[in-house]
Amino acid sequence: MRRKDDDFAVEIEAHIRLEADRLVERGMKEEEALAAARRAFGNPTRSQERFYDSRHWCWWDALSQDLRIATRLLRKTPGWTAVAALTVALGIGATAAIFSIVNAVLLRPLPFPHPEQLYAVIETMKLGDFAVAPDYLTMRDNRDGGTLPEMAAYDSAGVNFAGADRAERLVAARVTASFFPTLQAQPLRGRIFSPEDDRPGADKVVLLSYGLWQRRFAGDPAIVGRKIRLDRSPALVIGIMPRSFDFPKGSDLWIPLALDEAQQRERKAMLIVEMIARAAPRASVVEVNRHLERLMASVKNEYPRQSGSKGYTKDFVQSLRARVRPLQEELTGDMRPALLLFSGAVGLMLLIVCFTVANLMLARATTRRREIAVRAALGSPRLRIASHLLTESLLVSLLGGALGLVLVITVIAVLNSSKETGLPQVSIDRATAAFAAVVTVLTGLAFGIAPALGSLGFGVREALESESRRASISSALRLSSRSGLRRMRQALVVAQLGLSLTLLIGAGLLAKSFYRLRGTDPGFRPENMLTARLNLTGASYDTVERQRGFIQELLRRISGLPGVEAAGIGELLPIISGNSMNFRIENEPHVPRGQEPRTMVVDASPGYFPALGARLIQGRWLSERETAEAPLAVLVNETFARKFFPGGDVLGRRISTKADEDDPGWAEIVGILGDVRARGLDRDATPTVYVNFLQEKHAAFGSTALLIRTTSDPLGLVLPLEKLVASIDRDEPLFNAKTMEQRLSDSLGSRRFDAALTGSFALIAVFLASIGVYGVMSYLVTLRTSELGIRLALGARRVQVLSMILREGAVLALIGAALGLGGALALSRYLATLLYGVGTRDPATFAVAALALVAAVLAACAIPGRRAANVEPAIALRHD
Amino acid sequence: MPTQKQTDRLTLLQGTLDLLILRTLAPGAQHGQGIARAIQETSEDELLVEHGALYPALQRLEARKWIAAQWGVSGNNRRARFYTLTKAGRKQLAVETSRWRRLAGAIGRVLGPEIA
Repeated sequence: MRRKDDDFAVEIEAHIRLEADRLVERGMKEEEALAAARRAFGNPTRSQERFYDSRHWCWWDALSQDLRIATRLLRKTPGWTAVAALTVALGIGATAAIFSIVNAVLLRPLPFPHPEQLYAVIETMKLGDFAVAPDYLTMRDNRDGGTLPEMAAYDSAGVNFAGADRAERLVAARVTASFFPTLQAQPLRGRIFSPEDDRPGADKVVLLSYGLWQRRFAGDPAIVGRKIRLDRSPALVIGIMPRSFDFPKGSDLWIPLALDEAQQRERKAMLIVEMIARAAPRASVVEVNRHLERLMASVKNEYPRQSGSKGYTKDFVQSLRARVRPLQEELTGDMRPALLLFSGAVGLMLLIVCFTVANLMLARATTRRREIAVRAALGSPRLRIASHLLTESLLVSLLGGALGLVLVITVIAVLNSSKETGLPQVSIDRATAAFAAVVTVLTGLAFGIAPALGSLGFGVREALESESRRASISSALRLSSRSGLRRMRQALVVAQLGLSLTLLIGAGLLAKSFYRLRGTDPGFRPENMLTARLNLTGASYDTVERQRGFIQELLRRISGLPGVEAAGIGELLPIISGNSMNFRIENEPHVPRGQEPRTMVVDASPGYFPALGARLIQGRWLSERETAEAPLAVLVNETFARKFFPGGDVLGRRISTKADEDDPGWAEIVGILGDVRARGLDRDATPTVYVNFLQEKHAAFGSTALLIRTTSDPLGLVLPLEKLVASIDRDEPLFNAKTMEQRLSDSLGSRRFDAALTGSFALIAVFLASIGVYGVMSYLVTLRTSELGIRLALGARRVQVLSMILREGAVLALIGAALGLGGALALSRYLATLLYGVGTRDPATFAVAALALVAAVLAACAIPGRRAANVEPAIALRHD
Repeated sequence: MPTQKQTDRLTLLQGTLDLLILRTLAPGAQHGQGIARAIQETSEDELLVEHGALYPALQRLEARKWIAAQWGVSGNNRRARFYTLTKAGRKQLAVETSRWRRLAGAIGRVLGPEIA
């Protein structure tokens, strides 16, 4: 229990009464005795103060006093306070915004029970990194249930859904019955797939996503148990997944994978799947991988060995590998480099912010030397002065933190509204708020400590003297050469300049990559082009004649639409990846199995090429008159010609994708097409063969793309086109209609975002660093006013004074630039995966960034420099 | 008389006030004024307790649980805060007393017999 002040006052009063009583006993009069007793006691207030000090939490008292003083002082210098708070706001705002994103993408665990037990199983084979269904079956059957209790396979496919009002293309995840048990996911309504559902030929069943259920069925629970039309056949809805379940990402519904196990085990046509596994609670990655290694031995045994032209080579089987990767890591893998980049950039920026504010605090402390000295002289303990300065910086950082929070909310709102970033919806959650709070306090402490330490260190007498009007010129000169604070500020500014340059170079490299990429010739004319996808499935399109019938009818009607210049279909749309096939060349020596040349094969209608705006380099186009009966004619691209016919003699040569000796199916190369960057602007063109769709003998147009070149705005064509498709077949949706320019822009979206974000960080950083330089140089000029006056009085020319100041700035800039270049050299290699066509040590970028920084510094020096040059000697000599 | 010239008086060495208070409370409970008075009288007016120091000292001792305080009524019918020695305080008194005696003895031996 704490004793009250009143209680103590009563005790003192009692003491005085008792003393007075004694004096009365000795014969004094009552009033006199009381007065004497009071006199003898001395100053009761002082006693009470000492009591108070001994009893109270003085820090609280001191803090509230500090807060009051700090608030008053900050309000007296609104300009300074605004700059400091805004600086902190920028730093904290950016940091918290990026943290929200990193948190949303990398740190937030998967929404499944025990996500740390979930792994993606990755197979590596000669053809690339992917898992195949028969290997999944072998692993599933041979696994040790103790280490890997659950395994599942899935893939994603598009399905046509015919609703009551309109047809729609949906994303379906095809999953094994073990899929939901592996993730330990429960349906919101109904049930998950049973092993019986997951067999070929079983009645079709489907689980709906929450989103689809709400969107297309108005959240009606009665849909469970009813049938819907998928790819023209009925499927029974057996359940609905909860809103939080979104795996694989973007699935509208889930259907059984229904592997034909016997057929898969023959390993003639292996289905590519994604594989996931749940490991035992305490199994480590190493253990799981070791177990997988043992499983791979049995997998390898299952591969039929080469005999004649069938089976797999020893080499291929030997090269098979498998490993696991934590599922979370696997799912966020693509985002990782970019997010780490931002985290790094933000870290640098936060440092810069701390330096800037520390510098501002130091500047403030310098101008307040007199006030601090007076307080020290009047007996204020040094610790109190230091704590007062700390309070001030904490207050500034809290103010900045609050502003920063507003900034974060704005930034996140902008991020969420832009689709280009490829980020999931980001929200400010408790983790972010906590992070911002911690950063705020730490920043406050970080930039409060330097001036606080400074205040502990300087001499009172000296400070008062230097402020005094009577101080001599010599003491002013001495002061200009001596100052720990000044040195500290210069070091801060140099560090700031270095960090800014590192950021600037990083941003420069990213921006250069972006512009280089945007300037890349895609090999076609993207303007005025509408693209869309079609999917011809089900019994109505099970033969190539039926598919061709639909397409020809569609193209005929499209060419009748106003504003259409050319229209065509192609199996592959530029900027979206396609499949590759083995092929052989007529009259070339036989190539051993497994080493056949590979090429992409695109089925295209003759109208595809003018619609695309592709260039013909040699030979002729494919013709509308060449039908299935005519000799096969194909186009190849430049890369194909260069790679497989280095001699240059291409036209007239024949190639085939068939391995059948009796019916070789030779196709003549009739033309060479300019390269089209089909897999993305940042990927070089791959060898490609274009086959005339009129000559295709197999039903190959299950999924095809429609390209239309227009004379006016392509988007105006979307609605007529949708109506047109529906009028031919109401079950057939046209989907993903976009202009080609939009597609190109989308493919660059994340790069634009990377460059823009890093760029804005860098600009802010350089701006802050310039403020720092300005502050230091202004202070320097103020400090040296007398000295400059003497120089001018002794005949120095104003230009000399200006160049002297600029020289000082240039020294700072050069040291900072050297640091920054060093930092960039050390760090830029982490950018390698994000760059395109630019080296991580691109000299031009480094040079331009360094020059820009030096220019910014000199500009920042110019104002104090002019002030220095305009010093009036007569006034300066009287300057204290 | 309490108005006696201050210069003749001995000033207390730092830390000795605590010891004196503890010793004064050894026979029994006493209030602040009583303690001050007792020290002054026992020391035959050589030591005058400064009241500005007394109460913080009492506060300090109370905080260390060497003395306990309670409001009571004095012999001449005044309400006063009475201080008593606690068990810990009694122990502390013994420790401090022997330490003081050793110190005083040591200083005495160093100073040796009267010179002047």
